[in-house]
Parts: sequence; structure tokens; C-alpha cells
Amino acid sequence: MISESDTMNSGSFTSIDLWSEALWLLEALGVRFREEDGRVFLRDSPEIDIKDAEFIFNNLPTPTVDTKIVELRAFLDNIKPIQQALIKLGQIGLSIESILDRYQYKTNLVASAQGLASLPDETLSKIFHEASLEKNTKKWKLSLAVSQVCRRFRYVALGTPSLWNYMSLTMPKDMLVTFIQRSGNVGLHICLSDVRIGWGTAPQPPASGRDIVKGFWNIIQEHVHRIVLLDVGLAPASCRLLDLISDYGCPLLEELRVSYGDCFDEPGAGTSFSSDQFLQGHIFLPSLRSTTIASKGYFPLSLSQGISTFVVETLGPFIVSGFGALLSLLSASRSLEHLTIICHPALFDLAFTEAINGIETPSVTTFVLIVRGLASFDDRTFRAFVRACCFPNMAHLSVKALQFPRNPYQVDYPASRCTSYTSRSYFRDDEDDDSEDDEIEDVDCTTFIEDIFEGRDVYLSLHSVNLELSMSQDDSDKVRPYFTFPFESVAPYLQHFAIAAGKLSPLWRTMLPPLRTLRVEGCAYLDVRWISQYVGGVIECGMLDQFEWLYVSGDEAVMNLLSTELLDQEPYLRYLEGRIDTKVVRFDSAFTSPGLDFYRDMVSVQYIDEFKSQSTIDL
Amino acid sequence: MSTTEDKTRKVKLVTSDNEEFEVDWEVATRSVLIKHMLEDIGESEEQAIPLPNVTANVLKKVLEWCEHHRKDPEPAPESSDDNRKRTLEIGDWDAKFIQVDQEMLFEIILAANYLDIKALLDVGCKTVANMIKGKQPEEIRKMFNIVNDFTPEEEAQIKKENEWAEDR
Repeated sequence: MISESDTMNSGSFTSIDLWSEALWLLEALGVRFREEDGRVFLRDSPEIDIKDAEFIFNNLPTPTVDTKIVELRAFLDNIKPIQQALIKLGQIGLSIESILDRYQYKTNLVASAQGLASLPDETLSKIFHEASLEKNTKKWKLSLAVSQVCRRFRYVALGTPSLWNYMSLTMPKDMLVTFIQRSGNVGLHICLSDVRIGWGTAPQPPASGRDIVKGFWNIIQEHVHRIVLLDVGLAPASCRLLDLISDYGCPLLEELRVSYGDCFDEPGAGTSFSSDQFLQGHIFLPSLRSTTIASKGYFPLSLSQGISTFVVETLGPFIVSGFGALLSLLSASRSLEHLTIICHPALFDLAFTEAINGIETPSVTTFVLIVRGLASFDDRTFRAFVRACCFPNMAHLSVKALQFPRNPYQVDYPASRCTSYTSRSYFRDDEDDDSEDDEIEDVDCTTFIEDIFEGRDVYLSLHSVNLELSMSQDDSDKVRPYFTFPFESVAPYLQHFAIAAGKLSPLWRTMLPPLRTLRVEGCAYLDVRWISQYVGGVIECGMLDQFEWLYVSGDEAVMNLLSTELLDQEPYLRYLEGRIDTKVVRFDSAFTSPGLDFYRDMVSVQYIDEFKSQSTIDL
Repeated sequence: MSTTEDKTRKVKLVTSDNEEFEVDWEVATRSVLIKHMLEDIGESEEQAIPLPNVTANVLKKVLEWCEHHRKDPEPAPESSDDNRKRTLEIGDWDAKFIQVDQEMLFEIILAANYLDIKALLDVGCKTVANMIKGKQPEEIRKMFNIVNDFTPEEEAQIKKENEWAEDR
């Protein structure tokens, strides 16, 4: 490999000279290159057609062929230096390519640095603030990281109060004091849900635990009125702190996250917990708009008043009364707009099958249903609950069956317990043989989709549907979901449809109304067919004016097929130009599928690739 | 409040490299700066708006965004209450739009800041935020060719801060 300095040094051009000489030799030999259809031919070189009768074994030997062999060998001997020069040139080409890549990288790096350095402090502060909103990142880590990059970053970070408004029971005292000082007057996010440090879920906190609570309280006491987000895991420590916070009130509290974990086994018993003082309306919380509950089935009715966002995660054995309470809450609510239900599989009592259908919550416009494992799709109790709910003004529906990331406020329970509840019998009646573990089964999830729409014949407001029925990497989910639901009749004004399922029915194309955007992630071979047919249908019925984008991702082979079948074909080529985005993604199409995150982190991924390449090159 | 007459009106914009763009009033006024300048010059349709801080290739990109979002409602005034509810998620179209090299990304951010286009500034800032989230200081330094220039006193404070993070 040559270096940049080598190429700049005129004394090191011997390889290039060799190539020049080779070219001269070719010239002298009377060889000419001719490019046809991307192929290169040697013109004026000795001709030989091995299929010619003259060269066929049956007609040999002959003196003419002896002469021909001598001629050919002489040509090869003459051209040998050229072959060597070509090999050498190939190596030089690779080196030059590598050098150019490094120049490109360095140029981009300096341009990025220049761009970032040009931003005013307020904009840099805004970037830090935006980064701190990422839910899956530990906020304090980000705060410390950006403040430790360089003096300017630190200056800006220390002047960004929202970077420092996170307070956790597990933080060391010095850290808490520093964070609260740097947080200025912005709303505080108090996390009392991390009970791993201190005393865990023991009945009474040990002395050191009491000290932690006391120390924490001493620091935040004067700032309780600033709390806008309270994250509570029901454990003795958090309950003691809640008692203290309750005495002061939280006039600005907007979001409350509560985990009713293993401490809470009986419905009704929760009234002894301080968090219920909040939930039962005993504490005046005029600003509360969003609540997240991880529960085994306890939903105070007070939540039906004033809440606009409600996230429910089912925990442990989610008993019948839990669904009953949730339905009552939904029925009473007039303010709820965004409802998310996160459901663990087959954790329900089978008695809940007689619910009255059509309990309507007209205020709900967004319904997100997340199930961990496809087994929930056939759980009788869960399906009965889903049938019972009705959101007539639903505008956005999202159904996910992925293995979702755990939230910080989610209570852990033993893995063995999760596994034991994960049923495979729905998908495979004869499963008793470990050798079948790698087999994949296609599963019709149509009835579950029908359950969601049970309450009304038509949902006129529904304009966006996201379906992620793809398999997780969980061994218990080795199934390929599909369905044949008639969205065109149930949601005639649907505009955006996104699906991350692997294999769909070929009949699928007839079931979507004309859309503005169609997104298919983790596209499989069969999908290519219905996508082509759907787009063809849109073109044929003259609805292309309203069609804005087609997004497709899949593995390389599938995307090649898509290009052959659709992108490179008329009339698609003519009509869809500029309206298609494709992305090759690497995934095992037999076992998993990418989620609906076509563009997420794309810039950073691009950067990471560059970053990796940079780290392997010695600059 | 825009009138019907406004919506049919054309606006001329002149970039720092003297290129002229003629765009619909509704598109140009996604920029609060341009909107205020138009209010200042009144009905004079012939008068071009000079944009000395924006080059033609950047303005072209910015106008592409404004065109797509021309019908969007006016952004609400910034409120601290809204901040917490926001996320790093970027809409599909915007995510595709912002797939540019980093040089252009920062130019778009600068232009959005100068032209006072809050929603575009949000998209740009979220994109950069996505790049730095989850990274260690050294990784961020490498990403943007930054050198550690802390004084020994600052280094001592940082060392203390890092002790907080141990075993957590």
C-alpha cells in the first residue's frame, strides 16, 4: 500500500512508469481495445475459436494448429509484462481509492467541525436539549458526556438547565446538589423507580436506605413545586418520599409514571400506597396530563379525569378485574386522547369473556397496542377486552408485536415466569418435538385485527395505520404473521399505511384504499408482488396524484427483485420517479424483520460507518 | 393572518451569491424573518428580499422544505411545558429531506436559525442530537475533530463528576 506522501513524491512513480511502458507495448503489438456493452476486446490479437472444427480433438493433430499454438504463445509471452503491469495497476488503484476515501473522510470531518463550530451557542444548547429528550438514554450520562467534550461544549452545557433537571434516588449527594444547582428554574424530573440501589423491594428499608431517603429529601425539598415528571416504582423508599412530596403538593406535575410491581398483589390493597394518594385524587394535581401505569390490574377511576395520555403496561397475572377497571376508566374518560396498552402474553384469567362490547371513548384519537409475543393475539381474555373497547374517532392505530425495549420504570419479573406464560399451542397443535424449533409457521392474525375494529362498521377518522406484526427474535415467536383485513371498507379515508410484516397474502392489494404513503419494511419476496399490483392499481385508477411516497426496505435479493419487477419497469418507472425510497437492510428474513424505522438514525448510522472506517485507518 | 391575495403573491429572494429565487408568498413566509421583511416593505412586489447569510444551494434546500410544509399550521410559541413532551422522532418526509452530508446539515441549521424557521431548525437539531446521543466524550470529539482543551482545574472537576458515574 502506498501512502499519500508516496504519491506526491515523483521519485516513487516506478509502478506508473511500468503501466506506461505496458501501454506502449500494447501499442507496439498493434493491440486495440474496443468497448461494447461494457466488455473489452483485444482487436488485432491472434484469433482463435475453439469451437472451430480446425481445433476440435477429433480432427487433430495438424501442422496448422502447431503453427497457431506457437503464434498464440508468442503473443502471450509478449503481453506478459502487460499482465503484470495490470495487476500492479490494480493494486495502485486500490491504494489510490483508499487515499481518496481518506481525503473524503478528512474533508467531511473538517467540514462537519466547521459547521458545528459555526452554530451559535443557543443552537448548540438546543441540540443538547433535544438529545436529552431521548427516552432510551440515561439523561445524566448525556449531561455529563456533553459537558466533558471541550470548554465550549461545557460552557454551553452548563448554560442549558434542562440538561440537569433529572434527579434520581440513586444519585450521590454531590451529584444531586450539582444537578439541582445547574438546573436553574426548569421543571424537574424526579425518578423514584430505581430501587435496585438502597434496599430493593425489602419490606422495610435498612438504616442506610433511610439515610438515602433523608438525604435525597433534604436536597429536593425546596424544589418540590418544580416537579413536572414523577417516576415512581412502588417500594418502601419511594413510598416514604411520596409521602413527603404529597405534603407539599405538585402544582406543575404533568406526567406521573407508576409501577405496581411485586409489592402490589391484591387489587384494592393499593390504597395503602402513597402513590394512590396521587392517583385517587387526594392530592391536587391541576397540571397532570399523562400517566403511565405498570400494573397487575389496578386502575383508579380518578385517572379518567383530565388525563390526555395514558400508557398501561400489564404486569404479572393480569386479573379479570384489571380489564374491568380499565374498561370503566375508558368508558368514563372524556379527555383521553392517546392510549397505549403494552401487553405481556397469556397472563390473563380466562374468565373475562363476557364483556359488553362497544364501550366507547370518543375522545381517543391515537390507539397503540403493543404485545410481547404473538400468543396474545389468540388469548381469549385479551381479545375480549380488545373487542370491548371502541374508539370511534380513532385517527391513528398502531399495533406492534415486537420484543419492545424495557422502560426504566418497568418492573422486572423473573424470566422463567415470562417463559412459562408464553404459549405456543395456538400456533402449533402438534408441538412436542424440539427438532421443530427452527420451523416457521404462517399465522393468520386476521381475527385479532377484526377485534380491534369490532365496535363500528366504519372508522371515518382513521387515516394512519402502522402494523408491526413481525416476529421478534424470541424463539417462541417463530411464526410469520399475515392477515387479510379489508381496510378499504373499514377505513375508507386511510392515507398512510405502514407494515413491517414479512409475508403477506397475495390478495392484500385489493384491501387498501388509495393512499398517500405506503411503507413496507422487511419486504419479502411475496410482498414484491402485491406492492407491484397495488401501485399498478393506483396508476390504473388515476389516483397517482394523491400518492406521495412508497417506502420499501428489504434484503438485497428482495430489493433486486423489486427493482426488476417494479422500479425499472414501465409504467411504474415513468409515474413513480421521485416518489420511491428503498433501503437495503440486513436481517434474517426467516426469523425477524426490521421495525418501522425506515429513516431513524440514518444520518448517525452513516456517520458511524465513517467513524468505524476512520478508526481502522491510521491517519 | 394571510389573505387570498397574499397566497397568490410571488416573492423574490436574493442569496449571498446573487442568485434570485421567485417563490409563492405562502412558501416564503414559512420564514418569520422573510415574513417580517415583507411586512416592512409592504405591497412592493418588485422589491427583492436580500438574504446575505444564505447561499443559493442552501436556500434551494430550505425552500424545498418550505414548499412541502407550506400548509402546516403556524408554530405555537415556545413553551417549557411542551419541551418535555417532545421526542427525537422526526417525520418520514423530514427524515428523508435531512439525509444530506454533514456540511449541508449544519448549513441548513444555520439558515433555519437565521431565517427563523423553527420547525426546520427542530429537524436539524434533532438530527445532530441523534448523532451525539449515547456517545462518550471521546467519541464526540472524534466525530467533530474536537480537541480536549480543559484547564487542569476543569479536568479535576470532570474527574470528580466521573466518579459519580462509577458503578451506576
